[in-house]
Amino acid sequence: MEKEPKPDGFGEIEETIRGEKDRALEAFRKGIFSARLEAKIRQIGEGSAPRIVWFRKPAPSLLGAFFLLAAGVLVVNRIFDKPPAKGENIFEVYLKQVSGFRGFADDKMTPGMILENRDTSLAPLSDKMIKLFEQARKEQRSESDLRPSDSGTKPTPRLTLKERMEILFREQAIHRFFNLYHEKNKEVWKWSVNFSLYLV
Amino acid sequence: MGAMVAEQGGDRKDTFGDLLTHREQVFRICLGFAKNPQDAEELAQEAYLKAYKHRDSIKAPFSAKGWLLRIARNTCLDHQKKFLHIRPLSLEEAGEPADDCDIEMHRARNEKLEMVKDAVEQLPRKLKEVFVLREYGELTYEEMSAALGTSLGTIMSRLNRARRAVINLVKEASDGKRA
Repeated sequence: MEKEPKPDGFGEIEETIRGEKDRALEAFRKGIFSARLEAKIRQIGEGSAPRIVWFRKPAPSLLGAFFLLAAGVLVVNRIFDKPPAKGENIFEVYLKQVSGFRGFADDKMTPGMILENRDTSLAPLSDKMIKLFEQARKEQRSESDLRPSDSGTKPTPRLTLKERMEILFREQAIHRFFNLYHEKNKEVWKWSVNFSLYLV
Repeated sequence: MGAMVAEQGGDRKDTFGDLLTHREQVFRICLGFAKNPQDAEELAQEAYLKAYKHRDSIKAPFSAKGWLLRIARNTCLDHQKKFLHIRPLSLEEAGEPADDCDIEMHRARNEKLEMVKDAVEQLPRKLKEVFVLREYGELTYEEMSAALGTSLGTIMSRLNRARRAVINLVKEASDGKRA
């Protein structure tokens, strides 16, 4: 360092700082600064360091867990108007409560009753699907009319719960997926309706 | 270390390897901003890691040192809030004293050091960085000017003000203790 004029009384402070530097540098030279740095650079190279550091911090992990829990509670509350009773089939409860298809899972409901009781906000796609469903039922009924009945009475043609669930969830999934694009892109919506009708 | 960096290829990586020759200067600068050598070493590590991540922005090898010192200064200033607590060197950290006389000497020295560190801590940012770069980093006026992007006249003026402020603050603290 070049010689320079310094204020009076600074010499003692300068001496204190020099002492601090000397002691700290002595320890620093004995340390493994370069080796530590090399290890950290290797971690960056492997791309593992940020992830490990993130998980070591408790706050983000706890916050993440809290949000997951809150999201879970929210989803359960939105799906179920009332929590399912003990021993009750959760899937069946969901079917009974799902918007637009209340009563669909009930064995006693016929396709006509479903159409009458349906939610008016239901998409045209659902209407089309239920009409197709009813038509299929009528065809099935006419086929069974041709066969002689053991009891003499006509059996009520009904789809099994599994079949109804399959139809319901296929329609719901397609409807919700394409509904996301409905507001943004009318063309996509038009195409999606045609495509889903083709699938049905 | 230099070998490892060089293996990864390119002149810029070699330049980064060369930067490690300045590690003691970087450490001293960090020591000026930090409260103890341990924190200073962590800051120096962080500064070098930042330099490594942005090594592609080294434009010319001759300006690399100034670039590194700027990174070190910015890293330290970013972490100022973390070092607001006072933690002077313990006797063990400062070296084991031989007898009672040495213990007294260590205690007096640590008290003095604590007062100086407090005074530096209280300086306004612009004065503090000039003071630390000069008194701890031992940079020349030209190097300071390059690192801070300020004229030589401004550097000299700020340094003079910083030194006077430190003298006054230490004196005040010393008088306060006596009273």
